[in-house]
Amino acid sequence: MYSTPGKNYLNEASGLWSWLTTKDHKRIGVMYMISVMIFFAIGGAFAMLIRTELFSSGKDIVDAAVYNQFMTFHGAIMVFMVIIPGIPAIFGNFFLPLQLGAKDVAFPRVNLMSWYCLIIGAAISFVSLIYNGADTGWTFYTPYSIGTDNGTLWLVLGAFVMGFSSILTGLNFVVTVHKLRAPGMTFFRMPLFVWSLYATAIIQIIATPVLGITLLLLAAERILGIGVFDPKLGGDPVLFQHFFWFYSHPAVYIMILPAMGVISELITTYSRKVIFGYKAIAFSSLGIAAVSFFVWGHHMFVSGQSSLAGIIFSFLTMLVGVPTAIKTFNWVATLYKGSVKFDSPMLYALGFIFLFTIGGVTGIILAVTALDVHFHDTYFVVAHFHYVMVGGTLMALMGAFFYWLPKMFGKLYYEAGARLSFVFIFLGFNVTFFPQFVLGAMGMPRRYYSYLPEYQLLNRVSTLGAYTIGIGFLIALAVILHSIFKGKPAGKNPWGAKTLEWEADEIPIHENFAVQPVVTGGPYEYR
Amino acid sequence: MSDSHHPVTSFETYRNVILALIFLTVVTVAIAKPVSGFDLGVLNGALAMFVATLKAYLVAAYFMGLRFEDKINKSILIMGVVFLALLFTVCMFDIMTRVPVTSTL
Amino acid sequence: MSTDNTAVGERHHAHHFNNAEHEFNTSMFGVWCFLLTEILMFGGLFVGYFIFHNLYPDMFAEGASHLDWRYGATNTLVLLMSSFTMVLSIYYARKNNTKMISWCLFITLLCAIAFMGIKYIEYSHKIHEGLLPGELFSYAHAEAANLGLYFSFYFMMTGLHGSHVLVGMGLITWILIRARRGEFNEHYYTPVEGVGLFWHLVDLIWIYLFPLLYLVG
Repeated sequence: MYSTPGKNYLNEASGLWSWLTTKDHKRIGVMYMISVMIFFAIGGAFAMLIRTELFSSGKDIVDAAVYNQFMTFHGAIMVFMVIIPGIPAIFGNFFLPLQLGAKDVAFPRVNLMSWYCLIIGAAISFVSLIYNGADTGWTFYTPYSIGTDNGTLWLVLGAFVMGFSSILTGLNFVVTVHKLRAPGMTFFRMPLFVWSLYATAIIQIIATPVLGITLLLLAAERILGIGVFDPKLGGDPVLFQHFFWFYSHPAVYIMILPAMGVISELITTYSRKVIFGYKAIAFSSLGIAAVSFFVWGHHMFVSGQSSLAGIIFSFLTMLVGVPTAIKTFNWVATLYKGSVKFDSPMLYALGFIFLFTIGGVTGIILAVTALDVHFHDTYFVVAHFHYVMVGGTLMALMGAFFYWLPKMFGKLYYEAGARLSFVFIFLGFNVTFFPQFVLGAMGMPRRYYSYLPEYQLLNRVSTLGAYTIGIGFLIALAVILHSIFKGKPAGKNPWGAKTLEWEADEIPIHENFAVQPVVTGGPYEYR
Repeated sequence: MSDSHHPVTSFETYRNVILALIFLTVVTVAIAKPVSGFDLGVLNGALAMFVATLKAYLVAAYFMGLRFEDKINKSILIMGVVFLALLFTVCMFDIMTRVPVTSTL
Repeated sequence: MSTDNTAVGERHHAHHFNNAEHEFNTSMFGVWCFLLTEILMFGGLFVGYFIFHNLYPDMFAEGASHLDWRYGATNTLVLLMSSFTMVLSIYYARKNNTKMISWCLFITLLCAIAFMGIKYIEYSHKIHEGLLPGELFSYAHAEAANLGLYFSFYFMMTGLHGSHVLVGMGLITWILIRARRGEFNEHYYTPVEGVGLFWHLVDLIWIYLFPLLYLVG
């Protein structure tokens, strides 16, 4: 089954229509890449506006009501449109079949449908802007979300539709991993990125439908006033939080697990060394997926949940530290005596380990009920989850971009520029969010457009840091665009990596491999 | 090529299953308190759920062919039930152990 | 549906599968995963139902007394029959009896329409009497103060189920048209099997809804 020389997935058909109707997982991955980048730019702009408003105490650019909308849209866009689809839908779509030696995902048509779900869901979300926006935060807590008079309903419905996107992607990945592995590709020969995507996909399938029904109930609550979450009518608002976090806590692992998979790939490639504790990392992914379903109550320590439930959740939450620490120690052990090369993807990977560890350890602090009562709804929490979500997932996303860009477009990028983007993002990130730990400990509450004058200095530092991150992402964008349009040819395997995707052509062909690969060994046989 | 498909179940089996399902529907109606006044107190709900589960088993095992499926397809169904049980248990546990100030209804 | 990877009238398999059987197994695995998401979505409602049923048993009993078990029982039998004819259509596909496939699917469709008809009658009674969810509840002789909550669950659960019946009717129509074209036989009946699994799940959910809403109360 040899294909015409010079043909690849990018040029085998042309025109916008051929992209919008494609069933090729690689093209769908690229479409996700473009859309997520646009959403990220919008969400990032909201972040800049938030930090600008917080530059000094009192009103800077907008009043409290508009600030609440900035905060809501920043959160909802970043969660539902950037971090959840980010790594799985861009790089998972593109590389999961390649890494397994498959020709495509199991259900290509469903795969395309999941992209449309994301776009339609996003469009519905933005309709809320016409109806005075939304100001509930991305969590839509009742009873406020029932009563507030604006376009919250549209944001809720948008999130509902985007949930289908996530479910369909997860479903495709689970089936692909089970049914479409190349001959010889046993479960324990799969790259760790695939393992992490597999664990993620299981969470997506199990947890997301519960979010679906929760949002549906919330929508019915707003339209019909059904009262399930409304104490006036005999309902229970805390039940909403249970239902919501039954999805949304595992969703946190939908966000971080694929990032961990990326880090496993980067660390081993740039250490030129077989990964330390392959099975431990693989099983810890499944372990995290399992534990993630038993800890949601730690979001509700001060929401009227019973204290006994709180104590149990507090204990269970600390268990998450075990599989994550297993991963971290294995990554560090892989570095030991490796021939470490500090290319930009590796810099992002090392940045991930540093920042994620801080995020994880502060997470353990927040899991302690006694401390959480003090830190709850302060900037300590904001800093904690940004260290995990930005310092973790976005660092990995950037690393993945630079690592896989040569395979996606067959072009090398400007290495010094990529490193510069890392320096800006990494330093800017710490300048932005480290002061927020201090602010939180001092008692500054989150979600307000103003603060007491004594918090001003640290807030100014934080805002300047945010601008630095913004510059870093702009540099990264310039490097990526320059690479795609003006980059030098990359060759088949510029990093000397061992996983299967690097054996495909410089730019993979539509069928991925000209000859069906047969796997005879593990994924990381360096030495 | 239909080797690994399920073996074809006979028409008689399907007929017996549907007859059993109809019979169980009659039973569940007959033992319901609003219909016949048959009352076991707190066990009413459990009994109705038991009959429903019998029916669900027949549908899943015979109509959906689950008795011939791989372990993995069976475990999918079980996984759904397990996670729902988890959600219910924790929510109920929380509500039962809360300080009772929520509602006077 | 995820099952339609084969072009109309042909029995070849999509390029990323080894053979038609591989494609069949993969499709069915996909359908089962999809059913899992359906179970969990409905499950959220069931969990809510059980929680509030435990909190307000008398209110739920009062609510159930406003439902007529005869409608519910008839609908149960109608759906069971439709499941039976659905499974027979696959049976006949595997016997290469093209004509009977179409007949069975047609009866399934009729049952679905009957189900929705009976649902319509029930709904209009409830709406007429003001037995409506939550805030809309306007029935004058309610004993429990929050009886509207029972009808919130009644309408959410049967409504979501009914919307699945409607989707199922669309899918059955689609495979009925394809069956009329003679596309299904012992070598290729993947869409019938997939839609069948979906339809049985709809039946399965009703098997639980019926006693919970009409009988236990």
